[in-house]
Amino acid sequence: MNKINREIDMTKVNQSKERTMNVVMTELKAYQKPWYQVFKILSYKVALPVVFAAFVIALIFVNNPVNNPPTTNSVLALSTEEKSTLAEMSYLSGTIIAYAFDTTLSNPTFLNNDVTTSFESDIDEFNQYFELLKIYLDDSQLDDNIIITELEDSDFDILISFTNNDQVYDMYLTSSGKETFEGELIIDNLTFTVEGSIINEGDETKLDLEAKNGNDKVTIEYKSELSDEIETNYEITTDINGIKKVKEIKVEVEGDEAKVEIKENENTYELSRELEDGNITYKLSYELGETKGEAIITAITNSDGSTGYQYHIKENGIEKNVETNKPDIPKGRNSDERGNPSDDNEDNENETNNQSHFDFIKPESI
Amino acid sequence: MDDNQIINNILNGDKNAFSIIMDKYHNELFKYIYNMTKSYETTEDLMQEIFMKLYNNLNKYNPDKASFRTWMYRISMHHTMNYFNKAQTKNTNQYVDVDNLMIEADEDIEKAVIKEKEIDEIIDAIKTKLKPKHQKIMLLHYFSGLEVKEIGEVTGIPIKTIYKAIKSSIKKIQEEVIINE
Repeated sequence: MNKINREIDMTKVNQSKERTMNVVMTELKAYQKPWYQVFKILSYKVALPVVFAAFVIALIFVNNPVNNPPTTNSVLALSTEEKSTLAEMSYLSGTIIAYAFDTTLSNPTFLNNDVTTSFESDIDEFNQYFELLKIYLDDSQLDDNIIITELEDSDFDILISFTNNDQVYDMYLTSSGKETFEGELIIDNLTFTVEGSIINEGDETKLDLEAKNGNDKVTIEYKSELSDEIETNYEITTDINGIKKVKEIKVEVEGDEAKVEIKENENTYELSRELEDGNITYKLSYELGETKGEAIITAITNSDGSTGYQYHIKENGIEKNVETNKPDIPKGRNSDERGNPSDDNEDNENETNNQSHFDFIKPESI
Repeated sequence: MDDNQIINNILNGDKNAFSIIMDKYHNELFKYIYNMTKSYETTEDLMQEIFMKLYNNLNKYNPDKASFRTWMYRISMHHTMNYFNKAQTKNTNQYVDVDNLMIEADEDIEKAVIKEKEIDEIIDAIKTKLKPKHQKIMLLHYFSGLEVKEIGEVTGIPIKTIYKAIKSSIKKIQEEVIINE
């Protein structure tokens, strides 16, 4: 840590200290005088009522928060860091479950149908995680737009709100124990119950958060240690429609560069962001078992004006482009409104949605 | 006796106990503010105002949210920043009062003057080139005894953001100081 200090005369500092203490203590003691003066004046005629009034005033105005500090059992007291981390975890968990309701999946367009790469079998799911984790690579941060409100007259202690891609996330939390909390996460009209815990051990902070909607749930464990490289580790366990998966996500930020790594069983993906000739591209390198490959991901505008991504994939001598749509959180649906895939097909004019709703988790990828 | 116990006693009516707090933190705070003002008189005035402010707001201090030290720095930081904003002082004084410097007999006077000038340039660069949020971070980073985690508690800014801010701000300050040389 590069501290800078001017040359300073400690004799002068100590002399100043003596003067400051005298001035301040004199001023503090002077506050007593008006009360004594009033009492002295009135004491001959109205001693009893004044004493009684002073006693009543003392009873009304005694308010000592240090003597009766709020306990963590009754009020959720979180540090700035913990609130920021909770906001991140609610964003991750809420978005992952919300994607599960998306029946209009990416429908990737394969621009070269001759050969298939291993990467393409998981491209839908990867596309959603890419959209989810892109925030760590871009200049914008959740931190910049997190609003934390302490609530009164509410079942909850605090509200953590933030916005990403015009999507508003509201998380209401209250303390449920010494190190535990519970609450609700609301994303548009989707509501998730949340519960979790916060444990601080020296320089390490551990946070757990579970978000549930019906039978679907996402659990995130967060660990962070203070270091110059700022490495954050998340373990994300998803249980969507009875199918469980575990992913490890590592985010490393060093200076202006960020890197995101996703690990699931023997598969690893590493994402970074590059700026070339004023254009932003995302570089992906992956290992799927023994298969290695890489891709350059670029944002594109589709013919209907919607945003999508083009993956330029290179794997085992195969080079091809695949285009996907940008995953969106569906609006206005809760678990009890989750439709039958056949119902969605009736509403879908394009009728390209021949995939099952549950193709978010493909059986062969377990 | 730890800070919370002392504050408890003060709020229970023992005003004299506030002198323990002043005795404990005066010199650390003085150095932090003096680094920015470069004036013993101005720093002493600000210290008296800050201690009165601390005393008058003791009932708002919540030990569950921050340590007393970081809470004290938060109040001191805001008070000092307000002073600078009102005074609209840009340090254009290129003349360094050598008499005011604490110089050992065998120390190089020229080196001491150059160091003071460099500090002045850094402060100028902080005030003119950085956003208010980053100004607070960098003034605490350079001139206070606080570590990054404590700076986060004082400013209410997450640690990751602080690390990023420090690295980008150092670059801007270096560029500005080099241009002015």
